[in-house]
Parts: sequence; C-alpha cells; structure tokens
Amino acid sequence: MAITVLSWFLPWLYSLLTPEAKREPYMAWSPVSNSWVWSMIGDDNRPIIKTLNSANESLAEGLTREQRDSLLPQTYYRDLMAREQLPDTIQGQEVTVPALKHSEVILTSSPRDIVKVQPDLYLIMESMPLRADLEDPKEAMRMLNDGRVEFITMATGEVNPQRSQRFSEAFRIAGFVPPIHDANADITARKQRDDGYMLIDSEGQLFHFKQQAGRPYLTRVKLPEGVHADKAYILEAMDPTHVAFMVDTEGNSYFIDIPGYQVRQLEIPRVDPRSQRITLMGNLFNIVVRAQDASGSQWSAVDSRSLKRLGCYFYHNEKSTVDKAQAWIFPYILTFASTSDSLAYPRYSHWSWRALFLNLILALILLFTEGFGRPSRAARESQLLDEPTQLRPGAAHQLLPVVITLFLGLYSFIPFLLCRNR
Amino acid sequence: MTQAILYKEWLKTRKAFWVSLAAALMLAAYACLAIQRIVVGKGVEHVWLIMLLKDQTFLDILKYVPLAIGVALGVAQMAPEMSHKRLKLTLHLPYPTNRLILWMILLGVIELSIIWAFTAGAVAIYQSTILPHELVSRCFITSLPWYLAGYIAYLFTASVCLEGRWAMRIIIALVAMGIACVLFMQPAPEAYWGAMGALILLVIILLALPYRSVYRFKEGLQD
Repeated sequence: MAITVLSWFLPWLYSLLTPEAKREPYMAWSPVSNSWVWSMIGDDNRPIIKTLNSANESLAEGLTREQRDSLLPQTYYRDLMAREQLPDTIQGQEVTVPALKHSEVILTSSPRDIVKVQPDLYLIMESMPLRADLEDPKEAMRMLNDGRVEFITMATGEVNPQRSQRFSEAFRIAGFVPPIHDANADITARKQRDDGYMLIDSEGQLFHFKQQAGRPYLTRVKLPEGVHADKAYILEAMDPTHVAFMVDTEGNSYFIDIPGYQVRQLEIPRVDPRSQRITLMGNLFNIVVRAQDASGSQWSAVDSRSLKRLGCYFYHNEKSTVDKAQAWIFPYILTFASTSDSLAYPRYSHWSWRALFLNLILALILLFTEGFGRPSRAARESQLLDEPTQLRPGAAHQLLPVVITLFLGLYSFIPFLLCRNR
Repeated sequence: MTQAILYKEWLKTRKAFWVSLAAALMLAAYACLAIQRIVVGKGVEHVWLIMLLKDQTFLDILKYVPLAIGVALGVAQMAPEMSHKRLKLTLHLPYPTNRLILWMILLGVIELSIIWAFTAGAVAIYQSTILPHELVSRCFITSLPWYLAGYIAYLFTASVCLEGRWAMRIIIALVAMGIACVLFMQPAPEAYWGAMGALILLVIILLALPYRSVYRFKEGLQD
C-alpha cells in the first residue's frame, strides 16, 4: 500500500518542486502573404514573429507586432482600423469590419468536457420565443431505453405528457436509434439565436434537433456512405452557413452547412476530440484548426470556401531537462486524475528502463545494509514471545525486498528501509 | 461475552457517535438549506441549470465530514485501549482475539454506516422533492467516495491508535493521508464511479489493518 501511495506521491512532489513554463507558438494563416504567421513569446518575454510558407520553411523572421497586424487583418482589424491601415480588399474580397465580424467562427473543445460521466438529461431551450430575447430553459428532456422521450417541467418536476408524445413521435419518424451517443448544445440565453442540439444516436447517425414554438424540429443529416459521427458541435456563429462541426469515428472533420445540411469535409489531418483539445478559428478567408495534446500541437489551415488545405504545421513539445531527469529516477508514474478527462482511476504511465540504474543501486544498498540475514530488532526486542529468538527465514525471503526494489526502485526502497526493524 | 464486548465498545464510542451524527445531520441540513435558498430566490430551474451546466452538486460542505467523523470515532474507540496499555487486558479476555477485534471494528463500521445512512438519506429525501432521480443519484454517487474515505480514515485511525511504536504510527498515518488525498483528487461529479468497485475492495482489505497493529502489539513491538 505504501508502494502504491509513493508511486503517486513522489512523482507529484517532483513535479511540484520543479515547475517549468511550457511555451508553444501561436499560428495563424495570413490571407495577405498566403503564409503561416508564427508567434511565440521568447525567453526575454519579447515576441518572436516569423512567417512560414505552406512547406513550413521560414520566409521572413524578426517581424514586428505592427507587421504581424498587417499580415493578419482578420484578427487585428481593430488595431488596423485605429491606425487607418485596414485594407479595402484582400484576395479580391471587400474587407469591412462588419464583414469580418460576421464571418467569425470560434469553437473550443476540451477532452475534460467530453470524457466525463454526464446525466442523461438535456436542457431544452425555445428557439422561437414569443419575445425577441432568448430565455433560460424551462424544460429538460430525457430519453428512455425504448426511444421515447420525456419532457420534464423543471419548476414542478412533472412530465409534460402532450409534449413528450409529440417529441417521441418526431424521434421515431426521424429514425433515431437510442441511446444518445453524443449531444452538444450551448445552453445560454446570452446569444443571438438558439440552434438547439446536434445529436448522435447509437448507430452514428447525426441529427439536428431543436424546439420551435413548442414543436419538435428534428432533421437527420445525411452522412456520406460509411461515415459514422462520433462528436458534433453546434456552432451558432453569426454567419449561419456553418451549422455544426463534426468529427467522425475515423477522426475526419466536417462542416455541416446550410442549405440542405451539406456535409463538407475539411482537408486537415485526423483529430480526436476525446484526447485532444480542439480549437477552431474561422474568418472570411480561412479556417485554422488546432489539435493539442501532451505531445504538441497540430495546426491546420484550410480555405474558408473550398475547405482545401492551405498549410499544416506540427509543433512537438520537446522534453525538458526536468522530464528527462524524471525518467532516470522513477520507473513509472502513477496518477489518478488527468488533465484530459474528468474521471478518477489509477493510470500507470511514463515507464522508463533508465530508472533501472537507480533501482540497482537502491537494491544493492538494501542488500548490504545492516539487518538483512540477522535477527530482526523486532524479534530481538520481543517481550511477549516465549520461544527463543529465531533467525529470519531463508535467503529467498530476505532477497524479496531487494528483487522488488530492483523493479520498483524508490517506491519500494523507502518503505522497505523505513519498515525494516520497525 | 459478545454482547459485553459490544456494550464496552458502545460505552467508549456513544458520545462520539451522537456528536458525529448530530454534526453530520446539521451540515446536511445546511446543504439542503443552501439549495432551498436558491429555489426560493431564483427558482428550481436555476438549481437544475447549475447542476447540469456547471457540474455542481451543492454538497461541498459535506465533503470532508465523513473523513473527520472516521478519525473522531477511531480515536474515541481505540485511544482508551492504549492509555495505560489497557489493550493488554482486553486481549487477555477469555474470548478469541480475532473475533474480539472483528467485533470492535464492526461496531465502528456499523456506527459510521448509520451516520452515513442518515446523512445521505436526509440529503436524498430533500433533493428528490425538487430534482429528478438522475440528479439525486448523481449527487449520491459523487458523495460515495467521501463516505468511503470516512471508513478508510476510521480503519487507519484504529490502526494508528493500536500500533505500539511511534515510528510505525507515523508511517501508517502518512500512508493514510496519501490514500485520503487520492479520494479527493478529482472534483468532477461521478468521477470515481468507474473505480468504485476497487475502492470498496480497498475498504474491505483495510479491515485487516487494525489486526496487524494488534498482532504487532502482542509481539511486544512497543515504545
């Protein structure tokens, strides 16, 4: 038990005592130079800005912030407006502040929000309220095993039978196969409009679902042959063209666009929302998708109209000296919580054969330390035992702590050392 | 003899039991009143929204209560055994040692279970009047590791109290703190649900922990 606790505690203590700042570049695709703009804060806290072509070769280095602003008018249009440097047209498109604002699409997704236990209750907003402003939801929906849905009035906790029947019928007609595999909505009244939920059923079918004037709006999105949805996000951007962003079971990314719920694939490498933090930033000219995990960040840029690839850049997080030293100290690391999910269970990681050297030294210390092969102090000091003091059991028993320490290193060395003769 | 042993243990723990039960119920009532305050002020819908969108259970005030009660009950029951080495007398009773320790520990576990049942029951009964069963069970499952931490705290405290050597007491206490930390590491609701079987198994295994201390005591390992 002490070994288990130390397997978690010692690496945790090590990381606590050796804090380090990990910096990653911020990437954006310039519609002006048709290249990546690479920005990172340097060790002297000054920004390092450069441009990279689509093959990730450096084009220009040592750019100033003002030069960067001019290269990225879709992001820094406020600063450019203040300096009266906003261009009239870019790539033949008229550039105005309203047009730039209208085309903005932003989505962030964290594995912590996906990999967690969620109750099977879905808050339902009214997408067509009687008054102009949206209101907080008054009802919630649950789906039963047989595919029927129940609408619960939150104020009373009672099921609304008429609405439940009406919506159950809508789900039946749409061919929804229970249970709900994934549901995504932005439940807040602080937005311009409500597009409801993107739902994925147990067979990977994608549905757009909302409540309009108390009636169900449920449409099945026709996915290409062989495509099964795994995760979908409602976007609710100012420009209603992109209704949703979807990732299929293979990790391919799609936009669901109106009219007609067209499924359009983004030409970017595969992503996994269940293990990667996804950030999508769209504008008038391009869409940049960042997929980030412990190993680094994968940046992809596509054209906002054709969704064809403009560039792809991968930033690997290099192992720091602290991380490298850790591999020489600990044979493995035990953690119970993770930054990439909201669950608690034991997880062993960072297995390292390099720690065997330290393990060997610790095992030898244990082997040659006073006490092995001799009667234990416990036995020597025994007051209640009537029988004469006995030698410890055979060599195999004596060697067991040494052998265990050879594999578990510090984790077993400390308890064996402390508990011996205690 | 069994009844006499149970009565002896009850005499030692009854004050701690009643105080713990009262404290736990008062804090449970406070947690319910905090929810009721929102219900009155902003409506039940607001409670639903916070629970579903913000991953809240409104039970944070009860989080460390079982842990504290486990320690208190363990000290109340086992510390008198170690003052003037009364455990020696207890172990010389004409009763099998293993069964004697079993009844001692079982009484503590039963008392804790009664406190947990009243506390969790009071919260669940109140919540079920305003919330659907999904959210009531979510709150209960979220608080389960806290109650298991209470059992673990009790068993480790008993083991520390019955241990004869200070060095080993410190080691056991440090291990206990490590295990307790693990049970409060992830604040997300129902985060421990997948590991609940393993945690229950751990509690069952830890039932043997006080035996170890008693047998070390019998071997004469005392300061």
